[in-house]
Amino acid sequence: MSVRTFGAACLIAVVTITGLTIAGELAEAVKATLTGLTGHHWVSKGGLAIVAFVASGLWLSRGEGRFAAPEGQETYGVAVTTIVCSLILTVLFIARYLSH
Amino acid sequence: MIYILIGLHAIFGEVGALTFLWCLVETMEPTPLRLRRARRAALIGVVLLALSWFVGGYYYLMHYGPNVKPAIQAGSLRWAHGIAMELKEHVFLFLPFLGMSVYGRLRGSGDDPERLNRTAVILESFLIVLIAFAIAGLGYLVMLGAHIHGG
Repeated sequence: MSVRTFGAACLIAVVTITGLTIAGELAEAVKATLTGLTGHHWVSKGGLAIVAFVASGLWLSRGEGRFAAPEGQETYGVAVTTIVCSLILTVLFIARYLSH
Repeated sequence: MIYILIGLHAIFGEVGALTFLWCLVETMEPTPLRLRRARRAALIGVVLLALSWFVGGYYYLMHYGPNVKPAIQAGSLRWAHGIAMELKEHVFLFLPFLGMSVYGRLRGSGDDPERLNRTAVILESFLIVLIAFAIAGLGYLVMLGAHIHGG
């Protein structure tokens, strides 16, 4: 993997974790499927994030030139995505707690 | 054994976070020597965050889930699990990948400060430190829920 693909793969892993967490909290079937994969939904999310990181990193590094991100996106993309995903998860868990 | 696992999880996590604070400082005014040190620090940080993940995960699955979680949920500080622990265990998963991104950027620039995306390394390192210490705070809230009101 190259410099650019490390960043992009990180971004995809963060989005994967967030997406799986939202889906698992909103749909019991998704959580059950994740639990069925490894015995615990949290372990499955971590495992799938690793798979997403490695697979996207390898895939993106094959088409390096074509997938080069604009400079601003390359600099701020990972940080902004992490902040937004952290805030989304914060709101999700507060809302879930208050609704029970 | 349980307290050793909690201690190792916290030590690996916080020392891992501090190595990224080291990276941040080294890359503020990068030289070839500082970049070499930052690269080593980032690699050590990624390994420590991964160790914290595995030790914390083992504790979570073997002890927290079967014993601590039901005690918190039976107490008056149910939010200690419902919000603090849920948030902690999921946002933590971002950290090793952020660490890999920082390491990748440092490795890619080699010893040449001109090739380094300094802003990205500083931003991402700062986020790792910020999130790791916020997670430590959430861990304190979980402990409160377990020991003060959870029984």
